[in-house]
Amino acid sequence: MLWFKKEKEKEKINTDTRKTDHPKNVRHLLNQLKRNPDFVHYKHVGGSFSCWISFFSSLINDESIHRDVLPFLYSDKIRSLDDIRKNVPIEKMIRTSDLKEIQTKLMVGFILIQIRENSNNALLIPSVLREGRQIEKSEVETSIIGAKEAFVEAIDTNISLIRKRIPIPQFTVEELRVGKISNTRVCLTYIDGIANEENINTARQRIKDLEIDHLIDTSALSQLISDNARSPFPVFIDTERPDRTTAGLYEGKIAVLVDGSPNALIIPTTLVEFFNAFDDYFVVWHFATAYRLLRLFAVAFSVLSSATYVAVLSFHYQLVPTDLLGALITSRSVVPFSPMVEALILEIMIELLREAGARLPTKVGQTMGIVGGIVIGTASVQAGLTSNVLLILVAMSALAAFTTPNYKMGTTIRFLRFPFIVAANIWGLLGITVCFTFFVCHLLRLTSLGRPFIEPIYPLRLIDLKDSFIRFPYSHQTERPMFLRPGDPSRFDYKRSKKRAGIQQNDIDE
Amino acid sequence: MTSPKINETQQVSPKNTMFIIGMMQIGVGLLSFQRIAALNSAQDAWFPVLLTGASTLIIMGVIFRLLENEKPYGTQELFSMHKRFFGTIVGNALNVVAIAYQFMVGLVFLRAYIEIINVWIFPKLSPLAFSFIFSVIIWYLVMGGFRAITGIFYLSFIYILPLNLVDFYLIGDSHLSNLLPMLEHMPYDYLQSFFKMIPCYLGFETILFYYPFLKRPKEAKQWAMFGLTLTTSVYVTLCILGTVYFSHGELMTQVWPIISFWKSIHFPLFDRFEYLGMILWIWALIPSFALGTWVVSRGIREITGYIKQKYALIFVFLLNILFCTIIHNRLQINLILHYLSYVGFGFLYIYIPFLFFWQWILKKKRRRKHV
Amino acid sequence: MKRLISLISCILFLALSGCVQPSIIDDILMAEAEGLDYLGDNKVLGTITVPNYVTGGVSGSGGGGLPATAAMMSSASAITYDGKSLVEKLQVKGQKAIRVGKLRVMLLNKAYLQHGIRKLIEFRNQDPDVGRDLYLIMVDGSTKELLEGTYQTQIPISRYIYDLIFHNQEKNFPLSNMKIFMYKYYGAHMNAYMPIIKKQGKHIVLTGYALIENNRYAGTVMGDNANFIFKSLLETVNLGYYDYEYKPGQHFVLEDIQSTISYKVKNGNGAEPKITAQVKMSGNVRQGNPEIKTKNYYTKMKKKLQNHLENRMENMVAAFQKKGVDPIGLGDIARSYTRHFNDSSWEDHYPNAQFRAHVSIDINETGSSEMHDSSS
Repeated sequence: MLWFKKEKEKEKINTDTRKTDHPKNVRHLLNQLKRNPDFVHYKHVGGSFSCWISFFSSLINDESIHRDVLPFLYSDKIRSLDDIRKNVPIEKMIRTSDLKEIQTKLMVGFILIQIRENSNNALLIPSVLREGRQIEKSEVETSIIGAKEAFVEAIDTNISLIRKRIPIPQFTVEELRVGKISNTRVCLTYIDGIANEENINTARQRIKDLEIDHLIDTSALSQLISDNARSPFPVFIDTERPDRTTAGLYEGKIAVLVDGSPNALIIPTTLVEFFNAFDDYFVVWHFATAYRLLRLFAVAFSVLSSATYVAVLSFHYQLVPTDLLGALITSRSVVPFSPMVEALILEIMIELLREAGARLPTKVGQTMGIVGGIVIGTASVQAGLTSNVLLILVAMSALAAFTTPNYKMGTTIRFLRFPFIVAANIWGLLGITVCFTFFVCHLLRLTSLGRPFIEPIYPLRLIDLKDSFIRFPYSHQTERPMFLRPGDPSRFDYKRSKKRAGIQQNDIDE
Repeated sequence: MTSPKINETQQVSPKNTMFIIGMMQIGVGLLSFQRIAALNSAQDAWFPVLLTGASTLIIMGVIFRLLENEKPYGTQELFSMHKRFFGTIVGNALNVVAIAYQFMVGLVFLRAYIEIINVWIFPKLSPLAFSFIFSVIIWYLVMGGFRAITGIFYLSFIYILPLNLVDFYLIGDSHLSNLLPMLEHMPYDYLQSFFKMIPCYLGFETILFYYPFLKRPKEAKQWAMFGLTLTTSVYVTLCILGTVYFSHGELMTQVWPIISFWKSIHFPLFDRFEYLGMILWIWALIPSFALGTWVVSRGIREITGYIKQKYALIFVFLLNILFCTIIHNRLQINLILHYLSYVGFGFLYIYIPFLFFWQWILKKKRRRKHV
Repeated sequence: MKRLISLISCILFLALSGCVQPSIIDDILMAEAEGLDYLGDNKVLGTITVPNYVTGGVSGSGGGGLPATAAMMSSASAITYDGKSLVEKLQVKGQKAIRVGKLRVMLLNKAYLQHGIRKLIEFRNQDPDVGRDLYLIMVDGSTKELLEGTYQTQIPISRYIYDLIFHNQEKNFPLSNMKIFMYKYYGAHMNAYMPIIKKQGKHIVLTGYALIENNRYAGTVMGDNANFIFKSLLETVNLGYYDYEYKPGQHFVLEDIQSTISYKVKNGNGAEPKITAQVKMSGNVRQGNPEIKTKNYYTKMKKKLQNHLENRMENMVAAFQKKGVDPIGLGDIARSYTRHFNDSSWEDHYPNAQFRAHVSIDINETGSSEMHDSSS
């Protein structure tokens, strides 16, 4: 809309050059569109009624137009546009004379019916072609147990996937349009009464205020509306799983859907949630907790291992246990580079492998992995480019980085290594600590939709800790996350849930 | 000038007082206090350490009364209090002294840490480079406001406390008989140790500056007391550990006994824990330094009234880097520490009660006027 | 503008901080053992050994870097003066930088101990590079010969010595690493001690302990199970053994000995302080003459052994008193038991102190065969 306004202003100033580009009336518009081969524009002459029909054959549903629209035009009952409206069994027909509306609707698959070719007075019949992918199994966030459905590109299908899981009237879908040219549909979904008003307003405001020409994907949206655009950390989770999205909505979060993107954006989020796989909710809490801790350890290991190797081998030889010295020195002695160069070579090699694997078709990609992992790894050790020990460390840390359930966070984790390695080469362990301090300061300042990003660690909130590094049993998760400041914080009554489960017991065998 | 009310989004929950006070008191001083405490009272060193800790509780009580009494008159902090008590000119002069003191404390902490790194790990680490990088990071942090600073206090509390627990590793090597015979010394010895321990406990007085940033400040009192008790217990346990682990003669030769503690600790992958310990100790320095610079830059804004805090901050950091480079040996550091301990003692144990008394007099005067 | 500032600061950072000196693990020579022989006239012959990791070669490595069997410096010695670090002196012989951070054993010959070790100890205490589990050892003979000798084992000499001492101190020999040495050396009313090793053919043997008094050599604890007696006087024993010859040619062995000691002091400031040591021992008997397994004999033997151990302990302390050394730290024990302990007069009273040891032994089991009375 903004685009039109601006352009109109421009038009006033410079009408001559703009004349051909922007239709001033329907005739002009139709002439412009006629240039396209898939634009159908013809005069219908019936027994009692004749009209001009125009549509994009590539956008409309062929079957429906021949079954539900055209046959009726031959009917005797029809004498005017209003008659069509009464008789054609299609909902939401639009009677308009607004040129702008005619144009936008034509472009999304409406049929335009006019009495005269140049008349602004028109009827728009929706016959949108919904062609897209079938709902398929999730590819990125796979799970062994639990639902397999994943979002598709069509936003309406995605909304239906969510709505099926939240059968209450409070589930609200707000539609916004983003992109001056693309005018992409963006849907803000939340459960009214549970989601925090302030969060909704902030999210809505941020999306509305976007100054952009086109919007392709949720990932782009998440970068555009993030709190700190300079941060390497993603602050919103994007997921392709409707069940995960729904769980977020029930907690009081907001899900943002973008037309054309098979992902939902869950906002706001905390750092810890990026390391929680949705599978954690399907296994018993002991193992869920163990896996979460394992993943957090994997993150720490992935970021720090090669940097620690560089620091210890370059500066702090005293730290190495004497029994390990021999192994380290023998494997290092043939390597002509300093530990940092050695580490960088391997890290970059691993990044290359990953990137090549991601770009290649699946089957070739697998071969790449094997070739890279076995052949290059062994060969580089034998050629004396890197040491055995480092090869193990780097491979392990790459593996560890891939345990992160969220792909974007995984990428961040993998790239965080490089500043750490450089810092380790400058000041050893002190450098690592300084670098670490910097990132901690950064995370402390980071917010997700105005909410602290590293909550529940700081600010410390014990209620939220129940479902963060550790997962308490369901019966203990009585409250929704505090950091969302939900409208209705309580999920269920703890005492009642205990009573129903029959856990209360007076004595043994009673 | 300054906005009298702090926005609620910038305030922090009162339980953070515990972390702030705990981490302000645990600093570079902790690494070396065991020798200083035992200097005069040998095996009874834990007693004066405990006494000093107890005295901080009393002073804290006075500080809280002082701040709470100030409520009807304006912002509850030292800067505006000075101005109200003594007029703008004298008040501002006192404010300058206060921020100069805070500045020196932060500076000496930083410089002492660099010194430790120089002695133990990197003899060639240049103070200029380190203070520069360190300042850049702290600048980034302080720009996040008081909430971010509190966050770093909390996190360092989490990191540093386990580091102190590691010292219990050494309990197997202890000689409990070193503590006997108990309480054998003269009161004068205890008094000397008491006085020498004061610099270690300093830092909790910063509550005079950040008090308005606390939500429900009345609750903060109990958390503050809890924090003080916690640090006192840390100091007392470490003091006892030092006494039983070292013989008195050996303790006198150790400048940083805690680091020697760490030297004897081995982990499967880290043969020498002291390197890790010392480097992690930077986390004891970060929060106190950040709060120090925050106080100083805020003070500059309060005094001048027109310099924005963010510009004052840069100035403070430049000054820090400059001084860090100028001070170049341990003698100078010790000299500054020596004088600072006097100033700290005077500030806490003489000036604070005096302020409290002065406030009471002003109140009396005002009431008389009203009558 | 902001970018320019950050760029400049980055460059400044790199430029300023490039000065930290690296010691890349394979580009340094890690001295693991250091030996000092006193030559007289403040001259010292110092020897260091560096384990040679590269000689073994790297399996599967074909190219680059060093040849698989590069010969590195493995030991070097030079004459220097007392109290000086050897590293600078020996650096001219090493092709890479020599570092002492992994020093594990420090050997001194008898002449050095007689000359005095204050300078050395002060230096070690100041040096932050070296860990506190270093062993200070006296060598019976020349340290240079011991360090450069060839032995049956292929492992580096420093580890050979370290493991030898470490293992034995878990059993019958008192603990004596740097940590304990410093405690005793700097502490008042106690004296330090260090193990003595000796080269014997293709072996190194741990023979006993050298006592240090007033930073000089002051006798030894050596011979016939003396180490066990010494250890049980000093600390808790966990895995000791004692071979007792109850009749000429007839032995039995008390194994897996657990022993704790506690002291009591009376009249600590008096002219003749009374010190009592209560030793509780328990152990197993598995080796020995079959006859000791009979019941009567067993109680008799226990009594006999108790008396025997008590005598040995008292004799050992008496010997210490005679020499005027106090490795057990009886003075420190007296101090902890006495209010307002008189530091200066203790030195005079120590030789007159009365020491009594009470040993009680508990034999847990005698192996898998039944204990029976053969006479019945």
